[in-house]
Amino acid sequence: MGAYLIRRLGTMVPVLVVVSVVVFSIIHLTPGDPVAIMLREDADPAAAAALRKVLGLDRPLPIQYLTWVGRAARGELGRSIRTNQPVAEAILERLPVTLSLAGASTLLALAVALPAGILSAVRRNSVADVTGTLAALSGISMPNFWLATLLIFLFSVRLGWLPPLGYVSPAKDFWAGLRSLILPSITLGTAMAAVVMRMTRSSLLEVLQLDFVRTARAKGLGGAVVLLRHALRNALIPVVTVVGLQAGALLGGAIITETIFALPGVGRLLVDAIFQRDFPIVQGVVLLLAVNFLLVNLLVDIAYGYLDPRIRYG
Amino acid sequence: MSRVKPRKCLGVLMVAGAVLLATAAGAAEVPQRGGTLQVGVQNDATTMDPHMSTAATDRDIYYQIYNVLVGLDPNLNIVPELAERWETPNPLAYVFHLRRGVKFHDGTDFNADVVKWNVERMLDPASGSIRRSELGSVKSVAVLDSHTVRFDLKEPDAALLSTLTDRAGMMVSRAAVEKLGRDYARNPIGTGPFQLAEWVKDDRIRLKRFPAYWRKDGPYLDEILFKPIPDHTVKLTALRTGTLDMIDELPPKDVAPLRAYQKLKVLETPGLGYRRIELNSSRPPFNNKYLRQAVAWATNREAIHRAVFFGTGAVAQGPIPPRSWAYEALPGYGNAPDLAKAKEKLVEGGQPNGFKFVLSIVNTPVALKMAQIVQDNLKKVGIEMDIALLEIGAWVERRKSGQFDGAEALWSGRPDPDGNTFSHLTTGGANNWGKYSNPKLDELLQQARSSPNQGDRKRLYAESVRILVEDSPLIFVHHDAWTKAWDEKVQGYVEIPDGRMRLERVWLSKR
Repeated sequence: MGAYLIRRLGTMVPVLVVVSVVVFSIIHLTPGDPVAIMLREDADPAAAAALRKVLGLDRPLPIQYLTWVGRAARGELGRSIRTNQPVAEAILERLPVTLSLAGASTLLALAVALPAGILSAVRRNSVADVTGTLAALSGISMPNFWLATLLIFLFSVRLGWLPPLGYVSPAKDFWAGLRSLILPSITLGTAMAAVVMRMTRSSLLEVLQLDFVRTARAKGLGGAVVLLRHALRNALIPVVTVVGLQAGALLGGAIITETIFALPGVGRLLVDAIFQRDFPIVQGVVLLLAVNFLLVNLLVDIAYGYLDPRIRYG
Repeated sequence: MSRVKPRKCLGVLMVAGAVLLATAAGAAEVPQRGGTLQVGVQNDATTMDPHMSTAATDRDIYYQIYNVLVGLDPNLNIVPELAERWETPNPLAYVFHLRRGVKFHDGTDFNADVVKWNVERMLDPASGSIRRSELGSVKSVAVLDSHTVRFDLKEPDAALLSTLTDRAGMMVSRAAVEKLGRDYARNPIGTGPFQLAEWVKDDRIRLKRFPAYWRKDGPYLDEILFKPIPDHTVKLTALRTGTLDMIDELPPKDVAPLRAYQKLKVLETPGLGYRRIELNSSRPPFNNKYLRQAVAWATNREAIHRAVFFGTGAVAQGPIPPRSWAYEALPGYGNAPDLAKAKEKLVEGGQPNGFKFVLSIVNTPVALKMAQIVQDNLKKVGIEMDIALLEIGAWVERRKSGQFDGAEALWSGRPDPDGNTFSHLTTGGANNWGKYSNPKLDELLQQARSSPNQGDRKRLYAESVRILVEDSPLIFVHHDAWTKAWDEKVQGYVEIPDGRMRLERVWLSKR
């Protein structure tokens, strides 16, 4: 397992190099000069040239790339063009917000989707199954900005139960933090819950028809034991894959959710940086997203081994 | 059922009288110290360094942290602030007598040396300050004594004082900049009524009362909490539910509905800026004056005013806003389209059957809606306008490279008419994206910027506006409104026509 991990981590390096080239090229090839965007109304060629020099944007692109990559390899991601804040610091400041949002959304999604999926599969074609399927379809189909607006309207404006915006760190004030995360995590978790529920249902249905389930039943095992210990464990492999993919995508979905609920997370940092062409921040955040995706994939692969002992990595 | 006894009745009357008295006293309440004002703002600050700031809205934060050399009053008059008084011994010199006993938040003194250093910082190309072009007329600053400075100018600049009411007049602590370098952008030190306590980007800016503030009856509030909230709906909801006390702007469509809330105050006044369509005079089709005029006459500004801006703000006839001393209405021009005249102009321009062009706009709901109305207006005279929806970076690039036929743009406005005209309309001006050039206009605007007499300047601007209407290098469409809303407990807010918040005199009623 140790050797496997090292090998897997090793393969991440070339992927990250490719990601860095792609990110750097895309943002620098996109029309829009950070200095022109910064100066916008006050454009004066001399001032623009001076600012460009101060920011190091007057150097050739390959040099800018090599400087950036060289520093990034040493863990130094550069500084924001706008505020001169170190990029790593800007990201670390916001990571807890995004992680708690993504974590709460995932927990919420699983807490709803797994039981619902199991119930739908076991009671196939019942009222519960049809209701669950309908709810899942709506969940997948509803854009999250729309869902967010509805939630704010109902819980903040009409009922006044939950705050419409803002973030409180659960580490500082647990209950206030939880309250500030409820609406955003419903917004972000709904689509994931829907996908996971559908996947659990279909995967479990398939497994329930296999021979070994019939054998287990024939052995006289109780329904719950067959379902939870034998069938579900085998059915979970595709579910784990989907959860992994979704968890990676959550950080992307967090961009919209964070903007609507005014949460100071990584997603909002990225969007603002894109609009302002704050290159170092954009590059840093996208690299982080790539690393996150790679790590989640690795975790998923490791989880397979636990779910199905036949899958072994050496 | 019991009868009310006379004595009890008297008691009730007395209580009622006392309540009435208390309410009457409340109407003329004296300002109270203390409390935190929570303000929702559209954008977070780009930086805390006013000399590097690039967004007009940054000033909503800065006016609390910094003082300016000279301020603005509600009628756009220049009033003393860090400079107690000033004189102009000749058109090329301004002498400022500075206030004594002013301290920066770091305890250092504000004096003539600091002013000189601040101006030189902005003028130094190596600093990359974008204030440099705003102070372009300043040659040097001389320290006459510890609290007197003289600005020596390269050329007469009637707009200098007005420039100094904005970020170019904000004085930062020399000691702090020298210590922090570029990190000053996150650690501002001014002389203003409030000092920065905490800045978590995109989450909150917390300011606290500066106890050593020079105005002794100093700010009333203990703290101000700015919350950047990009989504209008969420911001409005937060105000309505009491999560926020005040918000910096609201979409035009929400102005009227919000007025229905009794506990909210809504402010809506025409701003100093203008929304315009820039026509590229340097290439076809708009190097032809008549075709520009055809677009100008076919555009229905009144329809835009009502459908896009819901009647807020004002229709524009030129670059000078209605609240400026230099404004002069042009009766009969601008509101309604004149299709016959537009067709006439097409004939004169040699395109009787119309022509095609592309309007580049930033992808925002207001710009798109406006562009669609113009598109429809122009179709009526045979002009076919395509709309190119661009992301802001791409739009800036296109405009800068001159590769456009028409571009929709919003100028945020300046208190002095020079700021709304000179760099936008003179030959080679930094904001003259359509490369318009008319020597006669260059001369008029140059005269207007050099003349010390307001009456003369007003006449010169009026004449310039008539030339602009004739030449139509820009289609002046609309003066957007400044809008704000606050809870009734917020007292003492005075609106300054530049639309930016000054919260020094604001206090919270405890009722």
